[in-house]
Amino acid sequence: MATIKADEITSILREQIENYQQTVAVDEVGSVISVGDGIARVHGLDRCMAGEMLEFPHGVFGIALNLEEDQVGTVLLGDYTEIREGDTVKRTKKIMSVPVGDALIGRIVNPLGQPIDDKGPIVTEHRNPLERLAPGVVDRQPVREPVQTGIKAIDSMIPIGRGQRELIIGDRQTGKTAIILDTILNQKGGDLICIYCAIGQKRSTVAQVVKTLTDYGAMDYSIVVSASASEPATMQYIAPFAAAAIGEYFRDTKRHAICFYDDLSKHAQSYREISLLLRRPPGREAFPGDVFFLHSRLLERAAKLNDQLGAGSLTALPVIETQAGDVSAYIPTNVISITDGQIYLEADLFNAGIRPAINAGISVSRVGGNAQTKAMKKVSGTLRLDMAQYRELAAFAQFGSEQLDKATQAQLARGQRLVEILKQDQFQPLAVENQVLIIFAGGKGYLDDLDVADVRRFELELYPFVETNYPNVFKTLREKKTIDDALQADMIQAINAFKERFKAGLAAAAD
Amino acid sequence: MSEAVASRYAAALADAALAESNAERVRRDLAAFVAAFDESAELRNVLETPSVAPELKKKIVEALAKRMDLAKAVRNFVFLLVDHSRIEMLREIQQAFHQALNARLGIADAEVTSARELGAEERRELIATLERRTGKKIEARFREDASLLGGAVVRVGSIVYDGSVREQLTRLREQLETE
Repeated sequence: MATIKADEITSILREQIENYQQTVAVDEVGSVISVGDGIARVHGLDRCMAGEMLEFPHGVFGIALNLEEDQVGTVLLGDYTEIREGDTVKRTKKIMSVPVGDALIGRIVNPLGQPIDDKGPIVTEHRNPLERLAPGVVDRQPVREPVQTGIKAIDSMIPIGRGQRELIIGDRQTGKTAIILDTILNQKGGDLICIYCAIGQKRSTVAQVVKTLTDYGAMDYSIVVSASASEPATMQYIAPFAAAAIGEYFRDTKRHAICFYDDLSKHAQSYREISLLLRRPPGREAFPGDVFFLHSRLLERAAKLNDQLGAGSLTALPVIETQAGDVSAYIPTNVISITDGQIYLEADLFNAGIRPAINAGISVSRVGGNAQTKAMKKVSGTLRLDMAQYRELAAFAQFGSEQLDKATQAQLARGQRLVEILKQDQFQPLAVENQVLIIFAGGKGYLDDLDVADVRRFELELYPFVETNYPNVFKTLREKKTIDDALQADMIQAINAFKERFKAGLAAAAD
Repeated sequence: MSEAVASRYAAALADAALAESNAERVRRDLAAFVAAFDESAELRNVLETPSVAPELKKKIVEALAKRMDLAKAVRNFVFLLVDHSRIEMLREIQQAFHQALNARLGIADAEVTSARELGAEERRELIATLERRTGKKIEARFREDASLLGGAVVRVGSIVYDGSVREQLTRLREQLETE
């Protein structure tokens, strides 16, 4: 490091002071009438814009939300305990924005874009406004590339496309965040940038998520935006908008990003808190009238841009936590109607050991099918139908299966094995070619002569066997993404070869 | 809430006064009546208490108006306040009226704070500059505040022109901190 003499410093400072532009500062100001609960009412500020940043003393900023005849209702970001009645409030003439860019990848930030991970400042020249109009109709195109979640049940039956908005809905403790984490882990080595937005969660939960991501090396392509439960409602309110603004940067620079909003129920609650404190009239469940618009304008920002705009995409996976499975509450119905489908998780399934606890019957994806690979589309075509028939029969067969005819028994046996192969451990995302192989095996009935209890072990041991003995199968699936007759023959041969060996192993163990 | 009510009454009075084109007289007379109202606790009691009938109150106001030679608009206005039981808001209304009338006449209030007392020449120049800048007639009030160190701060409505040495030092510090 080059040394600098004391008088050199003095001369630099003097130069600065001598060249200091003497200008009159022109500010528009108002004064605080009342402050409390994170809300400040400000008198004056005649020409203040809606959503403008306002500067309070002690470096606290606020957002102007209510513009009234003789006052402005603002929500405060940060520590408001030092603000007093009569304090001066300055206009900044800027709309709230957050820093965005590649520098954020691998970082944990608060909703203002400030780092909270002790890794130094984030240096980027780009900023995006928090609230931005979603791309118009002509700027978009239908989804066409898949988001591979690595979860068999989702990739086969409820496929998600890039640019889609797919809701994850379920009670507490049904594995909503687990699906998100698996999806993020599965993007390793891919081109999808994952933005995880924690809204109103416990700090310990967020720390756990970050640790998991770090342990599996997923922070290299992830951004975490955190507004934990201890932060003011204002921070929780702007958190998903900050995440969307960060995601939009990648979308608009011809890349692909995915935003996970975990969860929007708490977001709606924090918005309800702010609205009630601002004395906006309450509506159903005391939520304000514009809570639908709040979520629709957020989720509308997820888009697949057309080729002229670079074909970038922003996918949104919002999470909603239901109370005792009640999807007809206000916020769940709102978000269900905004999104392009939902993944429905059930506590009963979870407790019955079916994990991920996805209810395939009422989970849907309205647009993702277009984005599925040909191979996956082919093998999973009958899967939904088989599962639906199985559920119907299973409910009926509970009363005793002895009197059932052969065809029904075969259907039940098939269904039980399909349920088995759709089970998956956490943090074990599966490549799409592996998924295709096992769903092919299950769907075509190659597992029907195995014990239900052996199916999962069969699956786990099948992959390494095929990888070593029939590497061609996975390679072709990966490259061609479609199943032709030759490949199908290879797959059948591989499955049968392994089944023989597997059964021999079972027989040997029985002796 | 009360501010909104006061501003409505004030706006109505300002429009009425301008229509009769005796705005300055109304302003003066209203100020005189408010001064009397402030000074005499008995008058306040009589007008504010609900146990005195409005008719009686109006008679008292009528007599006062004759003695003080109040403009008709002011007398009627006080009658209206008595009828609507808004007499306790008289002071707020007068302030709001002052502002409403100024806004209609293109007059802006300016609050000038300077480090030391300004001479007559400086005041005149400052006001002329402000009038050029805002395009309005300026009515200035002057204050001194030694903590500004030098220069002056002018506040017109919600806009602050800060040319004080204190502000410049603050900004210089911020600039040096960020570089």
